[in-house]
Amino acid sequence: MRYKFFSLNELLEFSSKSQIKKLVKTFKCQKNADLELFLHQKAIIFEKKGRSRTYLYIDTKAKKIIAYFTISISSLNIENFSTKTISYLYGQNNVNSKCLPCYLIGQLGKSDNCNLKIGNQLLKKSISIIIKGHNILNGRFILLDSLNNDKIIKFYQNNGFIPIENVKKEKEVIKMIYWLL
Amino acid sequence: MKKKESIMTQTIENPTITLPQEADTLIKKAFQKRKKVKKLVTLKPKNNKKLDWLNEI
Repeated sequence: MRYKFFSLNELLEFSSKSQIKKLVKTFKCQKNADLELFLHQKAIIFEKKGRSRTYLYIDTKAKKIIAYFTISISSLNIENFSTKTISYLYGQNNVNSKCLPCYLIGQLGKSDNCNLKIGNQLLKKSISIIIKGHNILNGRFILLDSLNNDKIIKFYQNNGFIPIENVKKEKEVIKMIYWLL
Repeated sequence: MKKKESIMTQTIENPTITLPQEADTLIKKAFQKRKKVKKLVTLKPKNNKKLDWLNEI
């Protein structure tokens, strides 16, 4: 099979860091410079520091990364939320904490040279991996940053995500939620 | 020149996510319609043969 999924962690374990650095540089995305910047400069460091996990979709024939996503465990600040909202997010409203745990899809996208329609597959894969963790550890929701663009927001909405920031505002990014309930 | 990090990278970098006040209402609405939205991945298997013995209790 020409296109394969790999975890960055797996690649770092069985290849040299310099090889992987060369590999990540094959990912190009001018439409979303941050997607490229994160993979080129942060993904390996974050992987090694235990901050996030990155999964790569690789064209093994061209030896290029054509898409990737990064997931992590994060926490949501609930200091300004009503008790009702806290109970929805946590299952009870008497929380002795300023934050609640959540899963995060931090980055997700494909490269400029990828013509395959793999958005759904990529998102499905990222949720499947989180659900593996959810089956072991539990948890109530996933958060995701979507570019504030109608087409992209619609894509996530069609796949179970709901915006939790006002999409009409002049914001670069909108947070969205996916309930694991 | 160093490229500017976007909100997405900052979200991964920061251990805590802070949302604007408007999110309070939007989370409530999102919770209420959580069962109506199409889920991409099935959370629970439809059956589990390993648990057939439970029917005999």
